[in-house]
Amino acid sequence: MTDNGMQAFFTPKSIAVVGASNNPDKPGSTIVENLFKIGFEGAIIPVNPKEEEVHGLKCFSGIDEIPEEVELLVLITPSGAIDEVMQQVDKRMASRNDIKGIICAAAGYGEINTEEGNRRERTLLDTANKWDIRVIGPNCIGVIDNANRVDTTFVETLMPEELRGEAGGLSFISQSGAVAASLLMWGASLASPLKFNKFLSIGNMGDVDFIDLLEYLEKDPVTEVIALYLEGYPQAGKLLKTMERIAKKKPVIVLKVGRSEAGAKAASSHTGSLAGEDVIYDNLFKQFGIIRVGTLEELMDTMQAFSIIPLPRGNQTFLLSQAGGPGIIGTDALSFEPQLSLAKISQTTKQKLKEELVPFATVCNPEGVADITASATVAHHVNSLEMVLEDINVDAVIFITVVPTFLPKVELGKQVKELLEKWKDQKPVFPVIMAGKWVEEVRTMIGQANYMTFETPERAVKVLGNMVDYYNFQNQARGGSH
Amino acid sequence: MELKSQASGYFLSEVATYKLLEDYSFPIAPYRVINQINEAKINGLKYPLVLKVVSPDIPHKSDLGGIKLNISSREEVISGIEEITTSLKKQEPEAKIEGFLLQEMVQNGHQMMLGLKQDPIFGTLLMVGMGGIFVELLKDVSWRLAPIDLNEAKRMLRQLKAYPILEGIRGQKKSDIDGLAELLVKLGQFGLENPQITELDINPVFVREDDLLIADALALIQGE
Repeated sequence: MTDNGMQAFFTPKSIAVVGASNNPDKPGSTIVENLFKIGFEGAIIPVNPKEEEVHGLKCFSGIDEIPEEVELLVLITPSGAIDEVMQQVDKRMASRNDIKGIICAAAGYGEINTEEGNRRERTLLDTANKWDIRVIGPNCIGVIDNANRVDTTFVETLMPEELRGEAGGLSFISQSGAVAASLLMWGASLASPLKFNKFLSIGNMGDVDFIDLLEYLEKDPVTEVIALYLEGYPQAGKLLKTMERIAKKKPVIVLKVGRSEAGAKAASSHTGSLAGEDVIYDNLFKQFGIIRVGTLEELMDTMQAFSIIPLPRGNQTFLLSQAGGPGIIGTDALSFEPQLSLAKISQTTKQKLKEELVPFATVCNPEGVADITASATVAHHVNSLEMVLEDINVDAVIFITVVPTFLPKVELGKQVKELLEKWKDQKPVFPVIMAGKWVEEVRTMIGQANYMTFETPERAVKVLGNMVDYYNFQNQARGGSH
Repeated sequence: MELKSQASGYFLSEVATYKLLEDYSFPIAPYRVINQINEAKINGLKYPLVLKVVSPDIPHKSDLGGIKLNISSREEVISGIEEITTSLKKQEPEAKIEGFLLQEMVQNGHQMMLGLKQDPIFGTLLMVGMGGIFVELLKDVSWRLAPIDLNEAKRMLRQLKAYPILEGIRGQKKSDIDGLAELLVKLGQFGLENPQITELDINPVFVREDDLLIADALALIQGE
């Protein structure tokens, strides 16, 4: 099979939910509801011996009793029932041979590290393997594919109903169910809700693992950006090589955790004693052009930026600030990203800025920075921003404003949004709009038009640094000078 | 997942490690091996010399007084051998002394360290950093997965905090950075073709203006 059996998880014609429930407090209820809400077009088949009907759908007492074809099976039954469930699968496959994939959401398998947990995981995997069924999990929250309108998670995603099933270009794979669930809910709560394409929680990686899914996403035409939450992988070299191959085509962002080193090592060569796992991961990420982020916040910002903001075509950065202190904070943050340089704009642009702005505005002292002052009007903001964007020496702009009470904020937001619209395919702008709830309305308005704004200069600069790193890697992979 | 150095292995002596590296024409500072005191002739080597004990049981020679620097006459070679032998008999009476190594003492250049590790989860890893005794404290090293090309080797060097030292600071001349990068590429090939060598330290290699010279190396071999 060319898709390595992954297709069943994304475009199943029918999904049987084993452990489906009418009780809204049970995950077996949420899964069925999520499939409804996302508008899944195939058949939803509840299985539960205690129910006649689930959410208005006819419910079956066993997997082997379903008359229709079943392509994907979602297991939310307690792990204690796995023997019985897999016996039913075995029986069904002997006569029907139709199931291609299982998502085992339930926990209580290998991750609890007991003999019984391991035995249950083996039972699940051995039966699946016997019939060539691919398994995601166990101990995961499931899979969302917005492009194909599949949602097998039991998470209340908080995504506004009208945005459900709206696919962005970002696909995400998580080794932790809790990290996955929190990102899903947090992402949906942002000013510009984060639109995933495929969202994959892989739990214990009993069968399907990072490499299977990365290879699928590599070829998936609607996935443009890939992000991973990674705790560890037994064949790290092979994983990194796979990520390297993909990074040449699509950005690969990773939050790799587990940085503390296991105690002292046995006496060895100096090389051996210096070989800490995290430092090696860190270096190989650099070697292979993989963007490593350090925190959940940076992961969220970076995922969103790569999905929305155009990639800068160079490292020449201009910092345009309406506020003194935040401008200095931004300049400091730039100095921590050695891959970024302050842009030297032309004399013409400098002159235009001086003519536009109030006399006491500071233009390019130092180079690459302009302070338009707290007295700046809406016109000062947007006109100076456009002048800087038009300068060919500028690859990206960090634009900072702390909106004061006398500035018509909605008008500012509207005009900034229009400018972002105009430049969206040309040059990246990182708008930092700093005034808490005072500007919430403005940021939401810009966010709903699918543009990104930032709360602090540091976060904007960090993301720009990640984007320039990736630009440099792509340039170098194409044999450019570096 | 924790990384451990392979416990089931043994160290090669410095001389045996050199023999392996010579097959790949790594640049090793001129040396000769003497087995007995009456063979203590320098046969064309230039003073000053370094005198080192050859023993597979003493991988970290300097810790046990197994090295004498700045040897400038035949008399000093002989007295040096006697002193090392006496010192080791006291500290490591079980250690087997196979002989002594006389090597030209490299006079200038920056001391760098190169390393190789066959890692169970990552594969063949390469390392480079400033050599000398502080490397494990400062940890200013960079790592790559082999193979690497010349550009990657240069990026690997530029990543070091100490890189400006190689470029020359305060009026110093630039060191042979290209040569060092080529050596890293070669080390990658060596590592991929010799999986039995689970760990290798080349420490130090002296990086000079126009060339490089390896002044010590230690290999760890898999097996009994």
